[in-house]
Amino acid sequence: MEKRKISYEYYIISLNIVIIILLISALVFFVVDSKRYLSKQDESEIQNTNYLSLQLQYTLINELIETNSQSCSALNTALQDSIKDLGYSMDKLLEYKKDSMNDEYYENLERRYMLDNIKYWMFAKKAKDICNLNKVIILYFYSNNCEICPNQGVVLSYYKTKYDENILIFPINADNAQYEPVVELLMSVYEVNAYPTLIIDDTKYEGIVYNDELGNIFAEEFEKFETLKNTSNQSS
Amino acid sequence: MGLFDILLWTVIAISVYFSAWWLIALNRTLANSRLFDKESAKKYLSENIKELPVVTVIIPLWNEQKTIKGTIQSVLDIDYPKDKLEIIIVNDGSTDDSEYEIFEIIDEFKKIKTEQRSLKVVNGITRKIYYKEIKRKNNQSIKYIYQKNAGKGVALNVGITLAQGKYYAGLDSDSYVAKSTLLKMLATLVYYNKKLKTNKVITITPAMRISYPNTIVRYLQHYEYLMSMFVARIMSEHDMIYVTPGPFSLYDRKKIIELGAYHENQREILTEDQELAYRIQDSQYYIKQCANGYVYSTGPETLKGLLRQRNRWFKGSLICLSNYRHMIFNKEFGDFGIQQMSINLLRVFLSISVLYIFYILTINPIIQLFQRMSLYGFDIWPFITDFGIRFNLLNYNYPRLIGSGIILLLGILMLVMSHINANIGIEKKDLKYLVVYFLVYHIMMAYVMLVVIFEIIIGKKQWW
Repeated sequence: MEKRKISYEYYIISLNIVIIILLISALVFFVVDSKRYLSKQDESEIQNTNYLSLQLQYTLINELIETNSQSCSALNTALQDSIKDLGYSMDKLLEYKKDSMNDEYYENLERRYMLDNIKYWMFAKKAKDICNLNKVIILYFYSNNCEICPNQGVVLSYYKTKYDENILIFPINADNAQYEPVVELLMSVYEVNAYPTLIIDDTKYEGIVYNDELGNIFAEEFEKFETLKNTSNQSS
Repeated sequence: MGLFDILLWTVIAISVYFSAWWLIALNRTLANSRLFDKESAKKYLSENIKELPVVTVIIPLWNEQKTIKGTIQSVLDIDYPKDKLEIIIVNDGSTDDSEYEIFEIIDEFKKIKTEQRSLKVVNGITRKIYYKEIKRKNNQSIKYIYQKNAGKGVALNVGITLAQGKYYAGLDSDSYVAKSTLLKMLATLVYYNKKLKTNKVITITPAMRISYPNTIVRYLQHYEYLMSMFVARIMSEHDMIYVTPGPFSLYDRKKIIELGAYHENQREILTEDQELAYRIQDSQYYIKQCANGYVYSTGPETLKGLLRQRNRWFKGSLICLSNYRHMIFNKEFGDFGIQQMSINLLRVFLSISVLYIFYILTINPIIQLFQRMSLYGFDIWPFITDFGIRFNLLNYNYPRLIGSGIILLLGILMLVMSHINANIGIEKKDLKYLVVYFLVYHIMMAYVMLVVIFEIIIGKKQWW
């Protein structure tokens, strides 16, 4: 019986085509990944500069010039923009980290972002006092092991989008407490034991705060600002 | 990058590999294949064989009152000397008006004589077959058999036992054959036997098409048939055909009887045409395709009908794959063993993976989106006004885009070439169906495969 034909060359060529396509994809993957990493580094640098600028403004307002609404409003806008950028940039960072081959690559960056968050939070608190900042400041503690936390994140980002300029949210990943003493300190100050925990203007809310409840809290806070504004207007 | 990405890239790699193999193989196929038209087939046959052989067309049927007339008419119209074209109609216990419909056509020929014969049949079974023979004026013989319902395999075996032809072709009673197809197929058979210096080419498969794509379900099948017709042409050149379609595959009758004819237990085998093709391959005979020998099938009209048909086909192919597993990656069977059998095996893996990938990439995000939206009472207005402000090129998953782009490109390439192969153009009205074909059809078929596997697992448990 004659032997049946095996077209060896076909197998070799098609295997090579597959390998080439896989290699190209891998190459693109690594190029994009490193570009992403570099872009995050750049953004981090910009945030540092922004922070420096804000701090200088703050010091100036605090020590040299008398606080007035004009100087404060410039500070407010700058602060608002910086924090918005920071929040967005951090969201993307976490997405990139998920896509990336090695998480370690991004871990240090993530730490830096978190520290930036704390820095900005402190700054926002101080600025609020001195400039009568009409903003709700939220410190949001979550953990990777907490299943319900993503839901809290969704509700928070909904309000962040809705009340854009009036809410500042600072997410803190509590898992970092083990190698970041600042986080541990912050948690002990507010006695955070459960996740998610929200600190809304020094009031602690343990466990998830759902849509309606959070909406009410914001409404109350905004009302407070209104009355404050009115009294300050009357006094002047 | 997790397990999902590994699965995704495995699927992409396998799909690209198979498509690349076919595209490379296309080169040799186009260089070697010879297409006959009606005249050149006649000429070739008269030059290469002494006289045209007797050919029998066997029409098994069960409750096909709507289509049987058209099927018989298409056989009566075949371009072939009538005295050499025998027709055997095997009514497998129809309970509808099929018999009435049949005799409405053949009663015109009068001269009915009843005969009774006892014959020795395949597998040592002796059968008594009662039949009516009708002789037309032009000496064409039409035989009609009514038997108790026993399955298509038995009906075909009765047909080939009674047949006089050197070759025979079955014709499902929902199919029609083009006038010149038989001549083209015979020429192809003689051509390949001569070319390969053998007499081992014993089967020629036709090019199956959907006769009237009038519903979306039939349009989808139309594209699929065009695609498999094109791939079958490549497979034919490399002796990799693993299914000889029920409608009008042409067989060497004696050789098929030698090989044991049709499997008679329909419940056990489900797809007797596929089983026979595997057996032919296993016995080291050749199956070739006649790339322009068109046979038209109506195809299931409804989605339910289509799903049921595919359920049976897929189950049948898994049964064949299991029965003939010794051929998988077996060098003795050449490209059929190495390439085709591994495709048939991997198809199972691919179907299920594609279904899973589809779920992860489309269904799951939609579910999650709804869950998220429910958390803020479906008030999406703030997000709409905020949308699209931040655009960043780095946010896209480029490797995935490359992978899916290549798959889509290969799909379109195959589709265009299959249209060229069948000599038909792509029209504007095709586009909307093509979108459905690319987006939904394969997912649907993968789903059928999943159901089949599930049913086999459940079924096995029940048997034990």
